[in-house]
Amino acid sequence: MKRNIENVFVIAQKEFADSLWSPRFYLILGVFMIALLVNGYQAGQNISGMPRMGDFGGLSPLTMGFMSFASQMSMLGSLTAIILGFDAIVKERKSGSLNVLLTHPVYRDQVITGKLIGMMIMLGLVVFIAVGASMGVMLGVSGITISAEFIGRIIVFIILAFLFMLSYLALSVALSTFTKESSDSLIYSIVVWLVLGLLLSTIAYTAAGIITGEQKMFEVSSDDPSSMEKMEKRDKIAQNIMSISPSIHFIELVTGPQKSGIQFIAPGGRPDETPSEMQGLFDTGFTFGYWLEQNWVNLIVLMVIPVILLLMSYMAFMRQDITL
Amino acid sequence: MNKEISQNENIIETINLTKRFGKKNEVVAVDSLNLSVKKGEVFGFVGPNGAGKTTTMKMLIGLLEPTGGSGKVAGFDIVREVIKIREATGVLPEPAGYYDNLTARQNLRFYAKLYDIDEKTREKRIVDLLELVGLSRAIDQRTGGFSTGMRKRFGLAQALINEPGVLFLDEPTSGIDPLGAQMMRDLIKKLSKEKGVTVFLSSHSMAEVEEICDRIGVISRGKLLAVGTVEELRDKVREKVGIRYALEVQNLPVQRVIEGLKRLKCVRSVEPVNGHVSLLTDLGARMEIAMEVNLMGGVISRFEEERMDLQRVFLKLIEEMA
Repeated sequence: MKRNIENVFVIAQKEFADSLWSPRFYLILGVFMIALLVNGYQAGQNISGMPRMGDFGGLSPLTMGFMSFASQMSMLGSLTAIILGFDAIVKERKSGSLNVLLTHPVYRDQVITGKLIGMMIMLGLVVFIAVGASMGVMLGVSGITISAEFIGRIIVFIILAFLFMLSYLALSVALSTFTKESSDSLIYSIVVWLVLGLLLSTIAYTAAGIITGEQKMFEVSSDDPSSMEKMEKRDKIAQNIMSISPSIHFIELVTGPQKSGIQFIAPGGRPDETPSEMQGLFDTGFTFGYWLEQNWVNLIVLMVIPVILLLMSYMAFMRQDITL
Repeated sequence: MNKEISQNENIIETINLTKRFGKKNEVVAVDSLNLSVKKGEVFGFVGPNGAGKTTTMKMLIGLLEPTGGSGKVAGFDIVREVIKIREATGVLPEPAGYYDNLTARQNLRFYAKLYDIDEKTREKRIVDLLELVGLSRAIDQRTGGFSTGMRKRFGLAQALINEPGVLFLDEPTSGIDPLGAQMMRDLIKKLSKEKGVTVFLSSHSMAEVEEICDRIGVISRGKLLAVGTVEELRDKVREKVGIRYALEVQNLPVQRVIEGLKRLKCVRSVEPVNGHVSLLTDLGARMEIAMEVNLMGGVISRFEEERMDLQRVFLKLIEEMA
């Protein structure tokens, strides 16, 4: 038993080291870091200038900074995770190294578990370093000080970012288990990333529009309850479709419920705000407990998606015939 | 972890070992294989592509579960004690890949960490093994830069990292030049002779198995056709197809010898070839033929068996099966 656990960690250690010394990984990590650091710097600049303008829609400048940060993270973080895992299994199987490894005293489940642990540790390190560094830049440039409670929220944000990126890592590992070539695994992963990250919203609203019936923008009026009802129905369907994307859950956890459809412009010229609604993790007007209460579904989904995908990879790997 | 198995005891044993593939188990890859390999033997497993050699090897090291029958390697059950088998054996699979971003030393270190080997022993063993396979100078080179021959020898080193009692080698010389192949064969012989390692190898090269194997098993379409030493296999083929002799007789014309020998029951066919007689006979007919020639008044100046090389023995066995 002890030997079995030790072997899992021997494999995990190797997987971690492989990523650590991979030039490809450094390249994508560099791009990710630069994007986050630039974002941190810009957010810091904006924050330092914003107090003169006051709060925007009830949100503090700091909260706005984190929102933009979350949006950047949802695009580039997912891509970084994909790069980390797209050839995890297929490369070893294709090169024959899996063949050799399995002739040593390790079970298949130890191999896949070790690989996943190694990649998860690497992912955790990436998230911690990237988020930590860019937040440091943001806070340093803005010159503001934050409370202990806010630091707690930053830690929760790092955990959420990790879970979110883990979803994409698990997705790419699953695809690398099913495909026969690394290039196929990468292409499929990128396609899924494009669909979930960029196209899903358009697809969801189009599909919802088809289901509920065409509705032109000028047909929607706050004076017409039926048109409002139709629009709400369409939004609901679209949001249900979009809930398959981990990005949606991550963004909602960090920035609050996504506003969709047509927003009516308030007399002041700003979006019609509902101050009673919590604007995500960094909305310090509400307690952390309240955030948890409001977002537990999103949180569970963000935890369940990677678990399901990892289980799929695990089961597929266990059933595969490894050609000797 | 190794079970005590004395010399001349079976270290590999299968009883009706069967593997079927397909949704309805319609494809028979290995069919009721009964095989035994003694400790210290070099056993060659030969057969055409798709004969079931690799599938058998996969089952013996626990990479595939048999559909039927049973087997033991180093005293351990091939289904229930897979990890113990892997601890007691070393395998050079085909194809074999290594971590090309790592050096030979780092690769071996990784494999060694999967066993209970202390650090000092591990590091010494890595150096010793790479010296054994002639890769000392490449110890800190990345395996990605190795030639095919170097990779094969490196594969043998990784298979020996746990000092196994049994080595499974799947086509150990395929794809390498004659010099590299000879080096590999010498290594296998050395391991068997000096370290008493039992070797179970599959190969397409008859010359190779003839050179290094104590016994050979011929498999085709999942069935074991014959097992034995090269001589035993030759006898098996001789029994079935007969023995061909070249006979030269003084004092008698060739035609007279042919007519005389045709009358013998043990002679299956006889014909003139380049001034001498070529005849195909049953096993043990040599004496009878010699006496008949003598009775005819001839003096035998040459009476040689045309020995079949192993390649022909192998082909004859496969033909017989077909």
